[in-house]
Amino acid sequence: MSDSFRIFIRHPAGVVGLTILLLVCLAVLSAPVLYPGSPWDMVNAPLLPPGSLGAVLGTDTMGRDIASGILHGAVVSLTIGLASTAAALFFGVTLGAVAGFAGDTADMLIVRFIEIFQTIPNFVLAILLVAILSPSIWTIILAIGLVSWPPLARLTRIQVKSIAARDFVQAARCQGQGSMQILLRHVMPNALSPIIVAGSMTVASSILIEAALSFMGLGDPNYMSWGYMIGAGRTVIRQAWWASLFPGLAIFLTAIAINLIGEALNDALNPRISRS
Amino acid sequence: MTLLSVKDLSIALPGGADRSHAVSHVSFDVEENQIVCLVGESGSGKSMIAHALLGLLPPGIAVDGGSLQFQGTDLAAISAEARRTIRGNRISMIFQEPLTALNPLKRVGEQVAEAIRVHQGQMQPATMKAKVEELFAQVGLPQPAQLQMAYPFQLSGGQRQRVMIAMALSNNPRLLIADEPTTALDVTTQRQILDLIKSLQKSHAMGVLFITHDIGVVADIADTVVVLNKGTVVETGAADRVLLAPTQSYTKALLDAVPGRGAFRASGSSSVPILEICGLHKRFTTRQGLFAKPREVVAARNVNCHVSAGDTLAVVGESGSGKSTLARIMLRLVDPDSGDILYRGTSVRNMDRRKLRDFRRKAQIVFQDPYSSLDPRLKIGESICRGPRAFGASRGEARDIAEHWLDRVGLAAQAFDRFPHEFSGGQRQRICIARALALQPEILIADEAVSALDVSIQAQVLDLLNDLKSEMGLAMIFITHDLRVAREIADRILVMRQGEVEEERLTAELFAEPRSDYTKRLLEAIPGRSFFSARLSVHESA
Repeated sequence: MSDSFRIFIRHPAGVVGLTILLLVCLAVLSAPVLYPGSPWDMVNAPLLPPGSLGAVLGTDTMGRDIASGILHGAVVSLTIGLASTAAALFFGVTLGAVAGFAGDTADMLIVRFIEIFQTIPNFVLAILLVAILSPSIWTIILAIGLVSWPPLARLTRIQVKSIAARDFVQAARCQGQGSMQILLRHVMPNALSPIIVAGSMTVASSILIEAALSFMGLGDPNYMSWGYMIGAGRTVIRQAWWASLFPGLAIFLTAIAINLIGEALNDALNPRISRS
Repeated sequence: MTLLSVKDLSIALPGGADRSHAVSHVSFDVEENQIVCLVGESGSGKSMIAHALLGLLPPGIAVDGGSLQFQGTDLAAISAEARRTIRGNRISMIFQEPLTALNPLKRVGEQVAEAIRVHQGQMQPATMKAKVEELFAQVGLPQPAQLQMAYPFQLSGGQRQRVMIAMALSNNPRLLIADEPTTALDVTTQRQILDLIKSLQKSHAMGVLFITHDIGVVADIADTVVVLNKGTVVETGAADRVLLAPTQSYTKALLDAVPGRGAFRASGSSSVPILEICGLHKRFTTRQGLFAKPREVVAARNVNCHVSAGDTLAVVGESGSGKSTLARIMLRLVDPDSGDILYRGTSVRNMDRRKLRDFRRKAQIVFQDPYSSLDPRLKIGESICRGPRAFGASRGEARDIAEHWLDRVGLAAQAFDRFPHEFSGGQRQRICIARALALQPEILIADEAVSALDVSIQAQVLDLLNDLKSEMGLAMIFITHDLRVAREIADRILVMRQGEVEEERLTAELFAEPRSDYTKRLLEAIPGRSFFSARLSVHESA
């Protein structure tokens, strides 16, 4: 692992991605200090351009401070990105591992179940779930988690299947180790690297789905979110470009940072690439 | 006339490799109408030389000294463009793995036609077809006209290699480079391909540079031998001279390591069998789609055999004979369709989970591939400990057991805390043996346990297995495709073919008077057989 860490740290994509992500985390931490008030408060005249006194990035149609919105919005984006990915990993990895390890019948049933989910367009299902369950941060996490797990499950399944066919797994079975022990201690550790990489990419896509939901007005009304800000600024984009541009940039940079980290992780955790 | 003259060749490796040069100061010649064998163990740099000739060295590795004179051009100094006009034309190459060397999505006839088109330009489809057909006939492919339309997966390993040879011959090369062309093939197919290469070499009056690790193959086809060790030439000369009167100790050691020349083992024990297989049947069906007819492969048809303590049974057969499936069925890693496995009289098939676990403790297996049979993320000591721990040993006891066995198989106890990738193939196989024996088994199944190893390492591992077997009174089942190895270790040999037992005999009897035609063919196909028996009698009379 220390080898992988060193490769990751030396990887240019990893360093850039990590730096941007650290800045986003810094935003989360500094939001209550720099902008102690609620980001929903109307603190200034509406539609002030960036650089105005008291509003570094300008204000929106209601006179809310965009900079404050972006810093506070980082909390929502990161929480939802991480929490829904965790949920998706939990479902996906568990089901995938069972499908790959438990034999033909379980495999067939789980694969059919995954296919049901894969035939429904992701985003439509997420909208539907949030609309039915009423928008709140928890329903959004649940909805994004539910639409993101199938690819992770498929990846886990195929990884587990290929590792389980290797001789050392058979040898472990001959050593008298139990199935659960073999799965957890021999198969999963060897299957994990691509799953971690895919998981990091899922964080980025979750952030994008959340932004899209908020843009459509399905965000949690108690939290300021980047997607909501773009949605709100969309009507005045010709007069006040800054109201949409800055939150858009924030989404763009965060998603790209996480993708870069994923790419670096991919190289660092893949022994064949990293050793050459 | 000298066709190829390699002078003082050095090939540099990138920093961090185990040595600075893959090969250094290597010189040898290939004359016209001659077969030169480059022989050496893995890591000796023999393939690097072949790849350097055609400019196929992997990135980061380059020729950094010497010259490769081929018909007046230095292959090390020409442009990529000039090299392309030579490659596949005046020099062509055949590779080890005939499956991966052919494009899986293209008909084989078209692939050969492409090789012709590159160097001879477009021609009429009918002319081309006739040309390919003639080549296919030359390399002994059956029904050359129809076979042109086949895809690689429809052909057997030997047929694929014949297609590769046809492709290599398509532009009448002066020099043919063959990089371990028979290593991936069964012994009878190997024999056919060797005969083919030899006869084509004569009829085309080509020079052949033949790369192999198997000194038996060398004895069969070489005119001149170049022995390589760790990137330097150890000995070179006419084949008869080098093989019969080697001057260097390394060459002698290589010759002596070839298995299958020692005295036959006599079956000592006739006691009650520990493990018995009765009337075993197993067929695999693969469904290829909802409506396609399922494909069936018979892995075992009425197989019977037994082993008792101190007894070694070798199961010999070509690929697809069902020998590995038999090993897995014995351990119930695969369930048979019918028949029974009896361990000390009790049926293994009817055992519940608890009993099965106890049985598996008594029957251990060592696998073929030393690279995939150890968990890459576990320290090897930990891998060995897992077994005793699963049967209730404490952490400290398990560690003691592991250290004892590491020491016993010839690795220092310090090896305990290292990872599998830090060991060579032979060392890993020793670790696997230690892992199996740490459970104090009564039965040891070795599934091609030495096939992936160099001959010299092979001999060491076989010795180790023999010692351990007699020390612990193990019943051993040794699965191999190599009759030479079987002869080295087994009391009895069971010959399998397509899931059926051809014959089961005492080793000495089987070698002296094989009953089935198939066994006879297997025996005749052993590379270097006549040479080694001649060598043996020379040694005995001396």
